[in-house]
Parts: sequence; structure tokens; C-alpha cells
Amino acid sequence: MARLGELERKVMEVLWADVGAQVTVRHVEERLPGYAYTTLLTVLTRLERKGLVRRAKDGRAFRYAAVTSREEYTADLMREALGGATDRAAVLARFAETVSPAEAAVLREALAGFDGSEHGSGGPG
Amino acid sequence: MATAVELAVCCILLFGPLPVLLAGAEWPTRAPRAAVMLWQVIGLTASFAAVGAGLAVAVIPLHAGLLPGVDRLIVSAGHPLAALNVYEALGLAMATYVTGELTGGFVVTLARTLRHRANHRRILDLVGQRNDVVPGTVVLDHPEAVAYCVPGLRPRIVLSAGALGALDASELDAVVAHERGHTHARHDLVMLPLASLIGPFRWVPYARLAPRSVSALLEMAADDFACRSHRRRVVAAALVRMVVAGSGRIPDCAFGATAGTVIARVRRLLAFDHNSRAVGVAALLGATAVLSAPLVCIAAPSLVR
Repeated sequence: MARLGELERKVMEVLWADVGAQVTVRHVEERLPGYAYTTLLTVLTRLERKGLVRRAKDGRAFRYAAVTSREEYTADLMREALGGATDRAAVLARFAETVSPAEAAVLREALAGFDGSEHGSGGPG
Repeated sequence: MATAVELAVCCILLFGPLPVLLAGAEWPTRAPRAAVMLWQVIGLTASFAAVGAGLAVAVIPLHAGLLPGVDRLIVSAGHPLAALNVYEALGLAMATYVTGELTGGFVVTLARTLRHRANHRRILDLVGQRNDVVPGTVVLDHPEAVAYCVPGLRPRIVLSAGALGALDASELDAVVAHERGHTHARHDLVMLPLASLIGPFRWVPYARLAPRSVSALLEMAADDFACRSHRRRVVAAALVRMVVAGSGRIPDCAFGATAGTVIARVRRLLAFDHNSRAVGVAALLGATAVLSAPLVCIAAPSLVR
């Protein structure tokens, strides 16, 4: 099961490699040597059913393309992680919220003050 | 009659003034886990008191006390709705409304959370990169500094490339330990029922205050978890650095109550006498008192008799 997920990942990486390109199963097969044509076709069909891949007919063959670029997916995840509304707290738990520049300065001072009191007695000056 | 009033008073005190006091108190930061438990007990007890008050109204005409009265009500169930007297109609409507909203809200929130989380994890597993810098974490290739976890049976701990750049090795370990504190103790399951209250019971102080306070306390509990394996100063430094790395993004006026949480966390990490066993024990005793209040209301009439 985990290996199938890993293969889906590799196939997506092939599709993401050429932005906007529509590729054939043959092309994917060339990029991922060692996998059978039918296996790759199955994976692409699964990815299409999941809504991650778009398929278009080109003559007698099908061409495949990623629906969304890797950068867009990453940006989506970051947006979710950063937009920490309270009802999202159950979905994701984030390490630190964002503060204003003024507050960031206060925090840095607090940390510097702590270091000062920790090392100050033995340090020079 | 007396039981209904007492339970109603219990419910109102627990859902209204007590959360306001608790949210404003300073001591919970000195025993975050005990304080979280107190919040949970208050919510649970107040919910039961609300349903109990409804049932107590319904059995007023029977003059039999809450439990024997409910017993007789169940035995006589099956008579048509038209035969309900005004007490029964009012009381049962109230009990049904509260029970329905609580369970319905919970189920809806649970379903939405699980779907949302599964979606996030599916995309994360496609675009996230495994890395050797911090084993067991997933890296997102994005310049902004962020660290978070996706809770669940197989949780994911996520660091952005920005976070890798902002922190040194020991600070990264501390951040990961903090996130493990969340996933380990399943803090998401603590938040879930509280988050489900926000919708239907927005007008209740508890529903507004509990999610915010508890989420801040859980951050502190996770900080404490990280401090078991890391120096407090390192955890604090990691927090400050992450916050400073993200500070350019939001203008001064645009942040809410959360910024105060970060400052409180840093202060707490740098203070030497942060946690207190005595405060924790006091909170547990308080929780016991809260829990027993409605039980006393229910049992008192039969004790007096």
C-alpha cells in the first residue's frame, strides 16, 4: 500500500517536471524505468480518479497532465497552516503564531535579557 | 421544582461567569494540563446540568424528584404528544434541544475535521519531501517559516524550508519535540468537542472562551513536553526565531489574541518557577467540586427527606 503511494508520488513528479506539458504513458515509462507500462497506466488512472491528473485524448493515445502545479499545492498547504482559525486548531497544530514587528522586538529583547542574566555574571563587561 | 432551578443555576454559572473568571486568571499557565482538565470538566458538567434542568422541569408535576420522576416518565412514555402537559413539553423540548445541538455539532465538526485533515495529508504526502536534516519530518519547499503537525493515527510533523533556514539544529529538534507533544497527547481530541461548540452556542461565554484558552494552554503543555528533552532556553529561542521570521507578513494592527499567547509562552519558558504542583492539585480539587455540584442538586431532595 505504502509502495503504491510512493509510486503515485514518483508519477506526479514526472508530470510536474514539465510545467503544463501533457505526456503519454510511454513518456512516464521512459522516466521511470523498471515499472511496467500497465502498472503506470493503472497509477495514472487512479490519480485521475482522485482528481490530481487530467486526461485528454490525442489521436489514438491519451495524454496526461497534473491538474495543479507542485508550487500551488505547497502554497495551499502553507495557507492552511498559516490561517490558524480556532476551529482549525483540531485539524492542524502550529508551533508559533505570527506577531507584529513591535512584539517581535519585545520577544527578542526578552531572550537577550535572559541570556544576559544567565551569562552576565561571568561574562566580560 | 427546586432541583430544576438549582440545575439551571449550576448550568448558568458554569457556562457564564466561571469561564470568564478562568479565562482571565493567571494561574492556569502554572499548571496547564490541570487547567485544561478543569475546562473540560466545566463544559461536560454544564452540559449535563442543562439537560438535567430540562428533565427536572418535565417531572415537576410528578412531585417525585428528578431520577424517580424520569423513571415514571419513561414508563408512561408512548402517550400521544397532545397529552403532554406544559411542563413536560417545555422541559423535554429543552433537554432534546441541548442534547441534539451538542451531539449534532460534534458529529458535524468531527466529519469536517477528518475530511479536511485527510485532504491535507493526501496533498502533503505528494508534495512534502522527506529529509535527513530532521528525521521523521516532512519538508515543504516554501520560504515562509512554519512548523505544524497534522494529528491522527499516523501523524505528520511538517517543517517549511523557511523554518529550516531560521532555526539551528537544536532549535529544530525542540520544535519537533513540541509538535510530538501535541500528537503524542492527542491534543486535537481535546480541541475537537470545544471547536464543535463554537457554531451553535456562540452566545455562551464558555463556547467562545474555552477554545481560545485551552488551545493556548495546550501550546504550553507541548512546550513543557519539549522541555523534558531540551533546555528551556532552546525552546524559547526556537519560538522567538519562528515568530521573528514570520513577523514581516502581518501589519501591526492586524493581529488578534494569539500574539499575546506567544509572548506569554516565551515569558513562561524563561521564568524559573514556571510550573507549580500545588496549583495543579488545587485545579483538580476545583474540577471535583464542579463535577459534584449538579450531583448534589439531584441527590439533595432525597437526602433531606
